[in-house]
Amino acid sequence: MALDRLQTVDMTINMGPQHPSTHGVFRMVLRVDGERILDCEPYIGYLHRGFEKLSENENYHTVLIHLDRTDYLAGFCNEMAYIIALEKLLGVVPSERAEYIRVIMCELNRIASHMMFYGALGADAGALTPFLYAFRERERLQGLFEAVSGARMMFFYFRAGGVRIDLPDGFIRECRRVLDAVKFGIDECDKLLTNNEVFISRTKGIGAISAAAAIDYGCSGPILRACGVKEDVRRSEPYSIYDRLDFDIPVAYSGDTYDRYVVRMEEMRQSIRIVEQCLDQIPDGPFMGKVPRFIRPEPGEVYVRTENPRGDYGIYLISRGGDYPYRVKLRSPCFCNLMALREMLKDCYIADSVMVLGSLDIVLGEVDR
Amino acid sequence: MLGLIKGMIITWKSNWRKPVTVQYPDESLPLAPGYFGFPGLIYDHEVDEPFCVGCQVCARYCPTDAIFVTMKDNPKFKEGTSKRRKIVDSFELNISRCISCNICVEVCNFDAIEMTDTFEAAGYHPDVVAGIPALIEMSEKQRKGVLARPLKETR
Amino acid sequence: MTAEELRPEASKEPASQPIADEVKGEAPSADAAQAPAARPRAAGRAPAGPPPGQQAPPTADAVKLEAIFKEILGEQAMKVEYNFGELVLTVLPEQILEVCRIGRTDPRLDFNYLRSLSGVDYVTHFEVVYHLYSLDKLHKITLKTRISHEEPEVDSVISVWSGADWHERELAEMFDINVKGHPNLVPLLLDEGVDEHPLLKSHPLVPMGEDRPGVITDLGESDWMGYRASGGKE
Repeated sequence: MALDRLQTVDMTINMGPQHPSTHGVFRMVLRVDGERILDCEPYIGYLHRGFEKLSENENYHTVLIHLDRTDYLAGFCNEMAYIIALEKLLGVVPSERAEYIRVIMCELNRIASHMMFYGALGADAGALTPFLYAFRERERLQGLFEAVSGARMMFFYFRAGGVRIDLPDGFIRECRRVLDAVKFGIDECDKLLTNNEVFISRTKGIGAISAAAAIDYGCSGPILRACGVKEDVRRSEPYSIYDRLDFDIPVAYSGDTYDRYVVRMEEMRQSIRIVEQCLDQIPDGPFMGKVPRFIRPEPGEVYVRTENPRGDYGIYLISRGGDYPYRVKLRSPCFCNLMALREMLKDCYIADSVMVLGSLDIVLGEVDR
Repeated sequence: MLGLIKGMIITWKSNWRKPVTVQYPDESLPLAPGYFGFPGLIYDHEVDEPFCVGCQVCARYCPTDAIFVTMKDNPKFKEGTSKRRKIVDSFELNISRCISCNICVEVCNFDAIEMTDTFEAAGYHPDVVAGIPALIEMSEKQRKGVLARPLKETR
Repeated sequence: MTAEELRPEASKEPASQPIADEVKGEAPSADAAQAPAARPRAAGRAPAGPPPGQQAPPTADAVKLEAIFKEILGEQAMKVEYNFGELVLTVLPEQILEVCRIGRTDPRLDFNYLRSLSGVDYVTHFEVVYHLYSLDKLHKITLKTRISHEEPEVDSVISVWSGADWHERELAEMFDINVKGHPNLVPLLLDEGVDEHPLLKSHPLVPMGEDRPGVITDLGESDWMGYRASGGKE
């Protein structure tokens, strides 16, 4: 019997929402031809908590608690975006020391978040050891977060005009010690995966996306930088004190899973550089600027973007006077990165879809808000 | 062969390392310097009444609606022993809802509330509620140093 | 096509009015006074000076962009504002697709990156806000269009930026706005079969401090640290 008379049918298979490799509750429906993915339809919204609607009913102060819970791996960075937006609306200038504390915490948070990515990507590839190494480093950073803000995840630490409490005694010394350990740890992690033959063959050339497509879909952060676009909000629109700091923007050019991984690994080292500069420069002084006791911004609107570990995090804040924000819109980087998943997964194998999803480093709490 | 010896050295070393596990209810790790537990009410020992006048600003600002406060006329004001015209009548903190966010402390106009180190609040009711005596005791414990801790060096 | 259509709820100023006057007349404080406040408690104090957004002088990029847009769009009705020095352009809903396409294709503008697409429900009208950015030229603009509650329709810009896909689905779902030309306008975030549009201001949400559904107000026999819940009345 001739093979061309055999009829094949595309099959539709469902992944998620409770799939261990979807990094949360995320579901995608794959149309496959054998093992090859023809099309992918992502379904999100399983973690939708109505952040934007809830914020309309919270005062400016308490909106912040929801932001910690959107991207729960990078709480400090989320708070940064909202606080900058609020300070712009209020016309408040944060104290110098607070700016430095914020940047230190954001960059430490970026390392912790990328460590989580590193561990999860390794686990997706079937390597469970890197996960434990990543968590060892992450634990050190979590200790710092806990010492400063009192919490390990839902920090709620930044305030309009400053931060909640000052750095504890001996923080700078301790932070340097942790950074040295983490620096060593990153090198160790690097040794485990970066040149690993199995890992390379699982990631190189998988889930590639062109720079034009990535820009078209609104991708940001490491996804965009892995395509060769040198875009970083910290450089292109410097906020806070980033214009005073010296750091590089790592860029890779093929846009595949491996490059996204490499970009993130390098970003961690750059973050350490930033924190070290901040520790050198941090001035003494008050940790709170001059702020009105009750926060009631003038009517107006502002759109602020900051560089989250996952990309370009935007807050669109509208005030019409009064105690409550009129509208808070969150432009979540994962939300836009995830849109490009369909483009990335074309012609991948099913087994690789897990790796590609892992390389996006999505946090569903932020996608669904 | 060399690798084997190296591996055995690591095994030997970790054999004699002190375990990092802490048997929690019996012993506990020191709390972080920035740690906040639940809020407590500060007690004014001079006048023998809490500082709180029940103005409800904390209840209004509480993001999780965990606080319920009422106000009453202060009997001690009529006697002339206290300067507070009004005093808190009931102050209920729903421990199950409290997220230890410190907002109530920040908005308080009378500095009558403070964050304590108390965080163990398991109970047998879905809504564990602390009243005024419990909240005052939390604050008193904190002030008397029962729960106070030295600043912790992080790892 | 006049500027009056741009803001159906605002005062009837002629389209030829100078820009500076328009900005003054259209300050958000005037807006707030005219639109009924969503909640009575949301009424603010009288603003002391101009809000911080209006104080900043326009950046060089914004002035340049304004000139280019003026040149391209010519006589068509549009409103120009500056917010924190950035250009805010309000155009008619019929024009939005065209303006977006020009912004994307014109080499001088080159807005290749859609930062954000959001809807806002000002009780009298909707506003759809496009935050655009150029990754090569590093300039940015806010495009706005106003649509009425009676005819909530806006053109899809998915043909300009593929990244508008989910943003527009969210817009349609949250505000009940019909996005014309979108290929797959199914709900994104909410449960299937939920016929509600939560971000509308008419969607009920109990303000803070009042009884919300699901909050247990009867505290019952709860007891903690050996004290009764009735607090202070033992």
